[in-house]
Amino acid sequence: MDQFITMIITVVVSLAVSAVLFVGANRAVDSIRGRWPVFTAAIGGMVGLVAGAVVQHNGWLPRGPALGGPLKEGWLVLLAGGVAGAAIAAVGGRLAEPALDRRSRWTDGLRPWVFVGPALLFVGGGLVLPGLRTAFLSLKPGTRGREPGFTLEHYKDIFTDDTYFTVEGWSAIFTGRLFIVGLAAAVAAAAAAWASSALIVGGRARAAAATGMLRGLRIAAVVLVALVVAALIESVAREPNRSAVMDVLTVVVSSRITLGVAAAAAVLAVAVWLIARVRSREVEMDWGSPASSSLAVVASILLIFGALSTLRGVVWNNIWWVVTVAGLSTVLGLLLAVLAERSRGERIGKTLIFMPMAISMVGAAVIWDFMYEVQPMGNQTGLFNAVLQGIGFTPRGFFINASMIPWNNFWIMFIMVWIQTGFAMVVLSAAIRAVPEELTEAARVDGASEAQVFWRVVIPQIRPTIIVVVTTLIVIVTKVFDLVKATTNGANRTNVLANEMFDQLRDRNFTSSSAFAVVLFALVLPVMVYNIRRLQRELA
Amino acid sequence: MTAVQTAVMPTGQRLRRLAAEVPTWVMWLIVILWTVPTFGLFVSSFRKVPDIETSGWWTAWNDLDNLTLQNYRDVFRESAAQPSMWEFALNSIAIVVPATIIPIAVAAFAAYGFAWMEFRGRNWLFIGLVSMIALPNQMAFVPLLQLFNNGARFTVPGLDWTLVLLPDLGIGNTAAAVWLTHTAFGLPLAVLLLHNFIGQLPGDIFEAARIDGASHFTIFWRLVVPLARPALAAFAVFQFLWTWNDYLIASVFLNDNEPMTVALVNLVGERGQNFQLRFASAFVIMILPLIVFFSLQRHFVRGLLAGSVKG
Repeated sequence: MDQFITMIITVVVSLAVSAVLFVGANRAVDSIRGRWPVFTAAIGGMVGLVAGAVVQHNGWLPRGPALGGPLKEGWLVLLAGGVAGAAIAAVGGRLAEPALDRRSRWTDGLRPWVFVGPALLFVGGGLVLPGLRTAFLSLKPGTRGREPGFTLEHYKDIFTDDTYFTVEGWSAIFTGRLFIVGLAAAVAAAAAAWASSALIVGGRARAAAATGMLRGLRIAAVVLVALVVAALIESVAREPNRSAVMDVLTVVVSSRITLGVAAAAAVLAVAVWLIARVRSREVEMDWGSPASSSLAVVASILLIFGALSTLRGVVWNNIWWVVTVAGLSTVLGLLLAVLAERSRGERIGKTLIFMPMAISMVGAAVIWDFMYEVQPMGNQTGLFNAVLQGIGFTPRGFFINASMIPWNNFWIMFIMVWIQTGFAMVVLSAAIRAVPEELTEAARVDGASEAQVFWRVVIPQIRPTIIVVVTTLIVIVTKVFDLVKATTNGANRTNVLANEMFDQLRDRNFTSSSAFAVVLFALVLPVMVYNIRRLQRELA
Repeated sequence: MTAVQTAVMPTGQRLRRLAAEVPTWVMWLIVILWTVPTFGLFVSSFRKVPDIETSGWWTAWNDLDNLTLQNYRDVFRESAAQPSMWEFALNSIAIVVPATIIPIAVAAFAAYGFAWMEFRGRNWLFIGLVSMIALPNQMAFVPLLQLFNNGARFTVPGLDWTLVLLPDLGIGNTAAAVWLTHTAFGLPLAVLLLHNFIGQLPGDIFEAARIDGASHFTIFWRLVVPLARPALAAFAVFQFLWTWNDYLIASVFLNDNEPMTVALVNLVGERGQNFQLRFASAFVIMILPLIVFFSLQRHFVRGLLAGSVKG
C-alpha cells in the first residue's frame, strides 16, 4: 500500500511539474514581446543551470572544503549557476532590448516549438537517438559495445548460423504439395483472367470458348479447394496411426500420380494459355474478374506458404509469421465485414469477434494453450483434441510436440490471427460502408452479379484501406514476441527475431542483441518508407 | 401456366430465403469459434484441480455444484511461492496511469502545433515523427536500458575526453523508466490520431478567437481540448489497453515490482505447479481491459478508424 501512495504522489508531482513547465514555457515566449528582461533572465537561468550541472558532473571544480560531498553541493553548484546566469542575462536584457516588432516576430516564431517541442524531445530521445545508437552498437566488437573499432561479426553470426538463417533445402519448396497446388491455382487464375477478357472483347466463338473455360475453371476451383483442405488436414495429421479416411486422403494428396497429373495439367494449361495469348494479342488479361482475383489470392497464399514452411531459420520463420498473420487476418476480416453486413445480429457478432483485441497476448497464449491441450492418456481436456478424438483422429500437441514441425508455428500464428482479425474487420467494414451506394447500385442495374460488384467495385474502392490494414499488421506482427515467449519460448524451431533479441539482451549481450533489432528493423523498413511517401502525398 | 407458377414460386422463394440466411450462419459459426476459447477459460477458472486435469471444461455442466471460487481466493492469497495478485495489480496501475496520461498531454500539444501553427520544417518534422510508428520498439531497448541505468556519456572522438550528457538518474528498474518508455513508444500514433482529429476542427473558431486576442495557449486550453475530447478518449482507451497488456517493455525494464502480465508468464512457466491458478489469474488480468473495451468500444473503434482509414 505504501508503494501505491508513493506512486500517486510521484504521478501527481510529475504531472504538476510537466504542467508548470508547459505553462512556464508559454509565459516565457509571451515575455519576449512583453517583458524582454524576464525572458533573457529565464534563458540565462536555464543555461546557467545546465552549465552548473556540466561542471559538477564532469568534476571540473576544485574540491575545496566548501564543496565536499557529491550530492548536496552538487545542487548548490547547479543553483549558483542558475542564479548567476539569470542575473547576468537580466542585466544584459535591460541594456540591449531589440525593437518591439522584431521581438513580436520571435514570439510568434518560437511559439510552435513550445507546443511540438515536448513530443519531439520524447520521440527524439526515446526512439530516434536510441535507434541510431542501436545501429552503432550492432557494429561494435565484444558484447557490451565498449571496445574500439567496428565489425560485422554479429551480422555474420546471424546469417551464417543455420538456426537463424539458411537457404539449405530450398529445392524442396518445388516438390512441396502446397507449392504445386499453388502453382496450379496461379495457372488457373491466369486462365480465368484470359477467359474473362475474351468474354468481354471477343467474338461469338471465342466467347463460347471462354464461357466453357470459366465453367471448367469453376469446377477446377472446387477441386482445388478440396485438395488444399485435404493437404492441410494431412499435414496436421501426419502421425503413424491414423484412421482409414486419413489413409485415403493421404494417398490421394501425396501420391506421385496425383502430383504428376497436377504438374502435367499445370504445364498443359500454361501452354494453352500462352498459345491463346499469342493468337489474340489484342486481348488484355482481365485480373479484376471474381474468378481470377480470388484464384490469384489463393495461389499467392499457397505459393508463399509452400516456400516459407520449407525454409528454416529464425529469420524465415519471422517472415512466415508476417505473411500468414497479415494475409489471413485481412482475408478473414474482409470476409467477416462482408458477411456481417448481410447477417442478423451484426453488432453483437462484430463485438465478439473484436473482443480478443482487448486481451493481452499473454492472456491469449494461456487461453489457446488450454484449447490446444493434449493428454497422453485418458480424457482429452483440450477442446480441439477432444473434437479430433471424437471424429476419429489421433490427438496431437499442436505446438508442443516436435513431430508437428513446421506446422507447430502455424498454430501459434493462428492465435495472432484470432487477435488481429477483429481489427481488420472493423476497419474494412467501415471502408465498405463508405463506398458510395450509387456505384454499387449502378453496377447491379447494369447486371453485375454480387461477386462482380464485390471484386470490381468494392475492392478497388477500399484498396487504400486494405493497404493500410496490411501495413499496420506487418508492423505489428514483425515484432511478435509475447505469444512465442508464453507458448513455446522458441523451442522446436518456433523462434522469432524479437524473442532472440530479448534473450541476447537478458544475457547482457548488447551488441548481438542490437544486431537482431536491426534485422527486425530491416524487415519493416519497406513499410516505413511506404508510409513516409504516403504521408508526403497527403500533406502535399 | 399460373398453376405452374404458383407451384414453383414458393420453393424458389424458400430457397432464396434460405440462401439469404447463409451469411448469418457462417458469421455466427466464426463468432462461436472466436468466443469459445475465452469462454472455456472462464469456465475452467471455476473448476477444481482434479476436474481440470481429468475432464474437459464442457462437462462442467453435468454437476454445477463442483464449481468453486477457490482458485480466485488462491490467486489473491499471499503464499510463500507467489505474492498476492493484488500486489501485481497495484504495480500494473502504477505503470498504466502515468503511461496513459503523459503521452495524451504531450501529443495533444504537438497535434495542435502541427495542425494549426505555421513554422519551418513542419511537414518534415510531422512525417518524421509519425513514421516512427513503424519503428520496432526493439530498436530502442539497449540504449534506453543503458540510459536509465548509467546515464549518457559522450566521448569526444580523437580526444580522450568524456562528457557526461545525462547523469545516472537512478530510474533504472523503476516504474518511471517504464512510463517514459511507453510515452516515447506511444507518442507517434497519438500525434497522428489527434492531428487527424484536431486538424479537421473548424478553423474559423480559432481565427475568430485569434482576432479577439486569444493566445495559442488559451485557444488550445479553452477550445481545442474540449472539442477534441472524443479523440482524446479514443487514444486513452488505446494506450490503456496497450500499457495494461504490455509484457515486453515491463520484462525488459523491470526486475521487481512487475505488472500482472509478467506474473502470469512466470506462472505459466512453471508447468504443472499451480496449474489451476493460471486460468483464474488470466481472467483477473483480462477483466479490466474487457470492461473498458465493452463500455468504451465506441471510442476504441473511432480511434482505430482515425488512425488508419483517414491515415
